[in-house]
Amino acid sequence: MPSELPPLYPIGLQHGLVLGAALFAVGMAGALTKRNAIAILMAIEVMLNGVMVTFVTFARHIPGIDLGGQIFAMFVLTVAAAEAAVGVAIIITVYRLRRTISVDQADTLRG
Amino acid sequence: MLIPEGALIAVTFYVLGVLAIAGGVGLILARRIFHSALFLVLTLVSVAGVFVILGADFLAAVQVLVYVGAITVLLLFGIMLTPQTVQLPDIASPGQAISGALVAAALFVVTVAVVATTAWPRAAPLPLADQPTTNTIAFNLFNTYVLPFEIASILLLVAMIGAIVIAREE
Amino acid sequence: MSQVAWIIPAAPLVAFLAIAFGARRSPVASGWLTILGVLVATVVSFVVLGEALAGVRVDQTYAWLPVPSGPAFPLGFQVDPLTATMLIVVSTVSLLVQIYSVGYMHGDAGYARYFGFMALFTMSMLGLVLANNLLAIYIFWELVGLCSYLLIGHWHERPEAAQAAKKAFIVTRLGDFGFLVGIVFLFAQTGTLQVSALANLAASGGLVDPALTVGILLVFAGAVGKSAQFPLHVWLPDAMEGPTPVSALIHAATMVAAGVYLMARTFPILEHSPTALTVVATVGAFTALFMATMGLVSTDIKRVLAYSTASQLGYMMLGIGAGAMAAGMFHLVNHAFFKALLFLCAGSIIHLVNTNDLFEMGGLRRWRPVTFVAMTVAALSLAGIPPLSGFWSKDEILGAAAGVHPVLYLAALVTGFLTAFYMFRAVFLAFAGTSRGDAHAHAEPASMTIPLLALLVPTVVSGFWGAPFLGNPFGAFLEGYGEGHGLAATFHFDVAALSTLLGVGGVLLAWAMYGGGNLHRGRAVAARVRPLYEIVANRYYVDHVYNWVAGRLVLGIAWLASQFDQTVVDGVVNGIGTVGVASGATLRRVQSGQVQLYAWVLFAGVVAIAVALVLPMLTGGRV
Repeated sequence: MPSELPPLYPIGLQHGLVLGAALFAVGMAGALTKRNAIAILMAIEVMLNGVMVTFVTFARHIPGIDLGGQIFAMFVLTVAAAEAAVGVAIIITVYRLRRTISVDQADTLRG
Repeated sequence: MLIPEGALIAVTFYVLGVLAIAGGVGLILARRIFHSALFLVLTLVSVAGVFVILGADFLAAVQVLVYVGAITVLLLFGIMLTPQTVQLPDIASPGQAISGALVAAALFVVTVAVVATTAWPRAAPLPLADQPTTNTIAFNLFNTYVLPFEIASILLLVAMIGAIVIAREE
Repeated sequence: MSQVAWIIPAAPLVAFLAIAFGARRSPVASGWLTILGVLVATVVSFVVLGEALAGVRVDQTYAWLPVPSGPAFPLGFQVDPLTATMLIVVSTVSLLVQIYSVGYMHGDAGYARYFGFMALFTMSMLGLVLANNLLAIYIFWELVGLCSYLLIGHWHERPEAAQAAKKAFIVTRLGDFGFLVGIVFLFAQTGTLQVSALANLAASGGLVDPALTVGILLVFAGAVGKSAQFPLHVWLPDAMEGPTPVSALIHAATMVAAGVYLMARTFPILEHSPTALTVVATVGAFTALFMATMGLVSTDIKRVLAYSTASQLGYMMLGIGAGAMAAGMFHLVNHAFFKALLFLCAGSIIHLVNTNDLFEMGGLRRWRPVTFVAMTVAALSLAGIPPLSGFWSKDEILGAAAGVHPVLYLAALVTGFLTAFYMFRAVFLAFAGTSRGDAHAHAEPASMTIPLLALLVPTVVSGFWGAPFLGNPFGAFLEGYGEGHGLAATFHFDVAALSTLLGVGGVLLAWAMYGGGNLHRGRAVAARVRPLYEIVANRYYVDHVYNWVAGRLVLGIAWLASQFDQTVVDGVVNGIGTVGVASGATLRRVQSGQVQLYAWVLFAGVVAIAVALVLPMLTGGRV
């Protein structure tokens, strides 16, 4: 890591934020369009990664928060791990009961 | 060095960013769930690289360990335990696909618009310390953020027990 | 004792509560409880009267409904000559009627209930005469109306009784509504409901026409309903479906007289409105004559007495309207005693022959000599034959009416003649000649005979309380209530002589037609004036008109309301239901169970909110 910033250091705050937004949007598109429940879980992980990138970018650029952004990203990661564990458990149970993990067939709650 | 260090870093950032997004897109477009998982790994590793560039070295390590090492493996277990007998196109109906993409795009546009128009306090990044961030993170985690930390541990415990209870055979 | 005059209504109230909460399981105990309660009230009433005669006056008021920064609604009682007199009338007659009822109602299935309601009625009536403000009077006014309803319908399994109870309640309610409006109106005008305060305002010019006349006439509407004055007289004859002691107490002596009492109580207000006085006198005189004619043709002994009651109440109203409040009240007192006695006599013979029909009686003097004597004396009193009580008070009213307008005087004189005739027609039909029905001797319980004898005493002597040759002590007693023009009525020898002659004439005519106990002379007369007879016998078709109006108007309104309910109200309700069902049917498609659709809506919402928040930010600099 360089201790002094090069004069042409180009990565501004906005760049990181746009990358985070892009990852979030891509993940959302996946979560809204995939049928396989496990794929949807994966897409949600991508969304969470977008959020983490945003947090870390803020931690890099906003003074006075003392790496708080990174710590928040760690909490996001923790929650993601918990979510994935429970999500996979639910998917396995659904599969056992209905022999499918396609979300458009899991419509017991249809009104 | 023909190329200045700053430019190298910038190029690395953009390449990693594009790779991360490409991984996400590939995840969506892949026909087989296993390929989707590989694309996810690509995204996660790329994001870890971005973390390194943004000065979050400890977080990058955790990202690789937890996400690539644990969550992905968990998802692969999920894939294995739910045999993918029918290989239909995994994308939903065209209407759903288009509307989902539209909403995602709209959200992206709105977010970028906000990012572009907000008067940010400063454009230049903060100076980075020489030593790794581990020390600072650990200190803050056990001082300022000790309560969320403990709650997070309880959350993990609950999730673990919950997952076992849900997935257990009757 | 006057300071604690509230004991008087409290005693029967305690009896009522005791009966309601337990004692009703024992009918005998219920009867004695009521008699005991009324006895206490009677004793205290006499003490209070004694104190009032000695000059004691009490006016106690207690805060009841204090409204913060608003008007206060106090409750209170007063003891003055008017109240003391009414207390005596109500408690004495009630006590004797209760004793009579022990025999009359013996073995009745609703014996305990009967005595409970009798106690409640006595309490309400005593409270009514003690109350010193219009609101409290109105509360007790409605309570006596309720008791009247309950007691007329005592034999509610008989459709006529249930019908009569409803009729009495609804018809009097028409008047009560006017009374209530009058109370609200007077309160809005003056801010007080204390009768004494209203009287002061009327005297000092604080309450002036037209508000004064409108207010007092609305109050009079209540009196018209309660006292069965024309045009709200129709309920009283039907009310005779109730047990005869009830008729004696409620529909002869006390409750129906409450209207007269109310006009006497508000007389200090009434006397300042010549218009209202004229209205009261005219309604009274017309009712007196009108009801007396109906009494001529009725064959039901209790109905004859009911017509007579309404007629005599009209007499009292005439007295008050003529400015002779004391005369009206004096007649009220005398009438209460002799009319209660007449009813108890009627009950005695009905008990004997088990019919109300005079044509099926006849010759009853052999089985009921005491009743015969008592009824004859009471009828003579009602006919105004001196020296019985009715003579003295009737004469005072006639004198007052003569001083106001000759037409009123004439109506009152004719009424007196008709009264004498129809009363003795009834007496002769019941007691003279030989039996036309199946009367067979069975002894009368002493509890029924004793009240007859006891009531004979006031029937004979109560008139002397207001006798002119004794200086009219009753008039002097009431003097000072109101400004008192015409209070101290003088004895008019010519008036007295004329009315006595007419009374005797009526009796003699009755004797000529019915003295032998046969019916053909009466029937011959009736046949000669057949159309007139029919009109009167059908009670001038007033009931028919009311029924027609009720049938057409009320049912018409009800039909409209029903249509409104079925189309508009039900339409709205069903419409709401249909909208709910239809929107539910539409919205259920949204609940597809497709999680991704839900997520899509969620994110679309996020985008919408974000756009709504961001757009002003983006355009804010430019606009």
